[in-house]
Amino acid sequence: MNDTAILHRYANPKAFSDLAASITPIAGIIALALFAIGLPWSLIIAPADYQQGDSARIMFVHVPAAWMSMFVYSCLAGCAIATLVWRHLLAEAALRAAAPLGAAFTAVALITGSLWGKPMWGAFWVWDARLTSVLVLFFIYLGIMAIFSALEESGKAGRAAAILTLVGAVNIPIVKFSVDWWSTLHQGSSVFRADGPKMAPEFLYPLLIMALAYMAVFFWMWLIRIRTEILVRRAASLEAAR
Amino acid sequence: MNDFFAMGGYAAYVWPSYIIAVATIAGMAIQTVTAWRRAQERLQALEKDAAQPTSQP
Amino acid sequence: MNQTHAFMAVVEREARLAWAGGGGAALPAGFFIGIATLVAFGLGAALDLAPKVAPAILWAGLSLSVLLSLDRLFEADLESGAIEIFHLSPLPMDLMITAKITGLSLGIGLPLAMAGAAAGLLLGTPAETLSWIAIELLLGAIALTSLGAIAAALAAGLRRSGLLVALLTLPLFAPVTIFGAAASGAAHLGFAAPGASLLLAITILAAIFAPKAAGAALRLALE
Repeated sequence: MNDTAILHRYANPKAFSDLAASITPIAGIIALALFAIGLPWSLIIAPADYQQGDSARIMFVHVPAAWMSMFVYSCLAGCAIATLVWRHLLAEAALRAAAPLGAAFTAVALITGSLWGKPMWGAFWVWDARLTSVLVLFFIYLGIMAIFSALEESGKAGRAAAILTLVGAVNIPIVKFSVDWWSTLHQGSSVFRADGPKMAPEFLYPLLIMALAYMAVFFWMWLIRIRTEILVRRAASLEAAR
Repeated sequence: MNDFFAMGGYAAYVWPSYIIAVATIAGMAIQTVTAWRRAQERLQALEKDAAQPTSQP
Repeated sequence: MNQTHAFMAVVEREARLAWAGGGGAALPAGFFIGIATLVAFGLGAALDLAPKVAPAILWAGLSLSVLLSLDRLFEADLESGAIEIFHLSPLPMDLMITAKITGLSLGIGLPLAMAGAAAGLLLGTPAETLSWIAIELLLGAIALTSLGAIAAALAAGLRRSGLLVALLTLPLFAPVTIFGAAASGAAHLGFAAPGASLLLAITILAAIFAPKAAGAALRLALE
């Protein structure tokens, strides 16, 4: 079976639900295991930072959240393109399902970042490029969620949300490169760099474990939410037929 | 043990961060599963309804 | 040639509606000055702070004024069916929206820029910088109207869409407000002010690309 045939096969809601039903529990177990390993590692095993002391431990919950806020948006953008180009109902469902998750990760990133900023820079908030663009990202997520709720009955919610998602996608490179383009208080990239990560292993490893944990729990939740959306639509069509 | 909770003096920042992060993710997870269960129940109820013959005397 | 005529006709119509309809251009301008006055009242004894916060007030005021004018863009025409008629005209949707944005920007942008200069004077901004500030506000009005058109188009046809449009415009307006306030804050540097070139860049980009996004949203609304 060639690639497009595979894509189309899982684009069918029933086929997707079945596939998701088998993957979901695996994702859930992996997420649980990774958190069980990652949290103690972050809180106990990892050493305190030379300069920041134990406050650096916030990194292990803050950075993965920030990474997820961007990753989820990329997923949204992909779904948005699929929605607009192929009018895929499954893509619309996936878009709707992922938006609140992205908003939640962004909120965690903003709040934990704020709590880290106070001991590190002396301020809970500064209007530098990185923090401001992430706040804008948060509002874009809220806007996408608002469109779904406002245009619910029109049947156009998915496509309208897709348009907004793609317009807001301009913000993503700004978030990523804000620390390079502007002089910001926020630390520059130390992991996703062209010449590889420049973080010490005793910090890098727990960070990666936590990042994978966040990723796994996201997929677990996303798959369940998409299946929920499919069920809701079926229920709605049954009700309409009554 | 006390040292652990004190987090080198940063307890007021570290613990709320971890609690908020874990609580948010857990909260989203719970809401996800609850919505899923509710959708399943609703669909099952509707399908049962549709399968029954119309209740006319 | 037909297209150019159609374009200019829409621009003229929109500008005239902005000037004439329901208080016309005086309304946003008056609102803008009203905000500045309120801030001046609110500062009270701390009036020496006013020149420092003036850029922020001006740009927040500009954003609010443009936000209030946004429903003029599509709502009335959607209701009256004029949008569908435009759709049938030789003008493609994107160009039609560009024309509407141009018309609205001209209609309210110039009054807002001048009102902003006056408000700046009220708040103690040095007089030599006022012409630069007015230019920046005009650019800002064009950028904000263009970006706001996307939000207005997405919410088009919805009853009581005001809150949704306000929420959608927030992330869209943020960069313009940030760059604009930075530029106006250092207006004595003119074009070399930090944020000035970014303001110009975002205005140009918004003017070119926002109509496309708004067009897609409007076509969706027409279905």
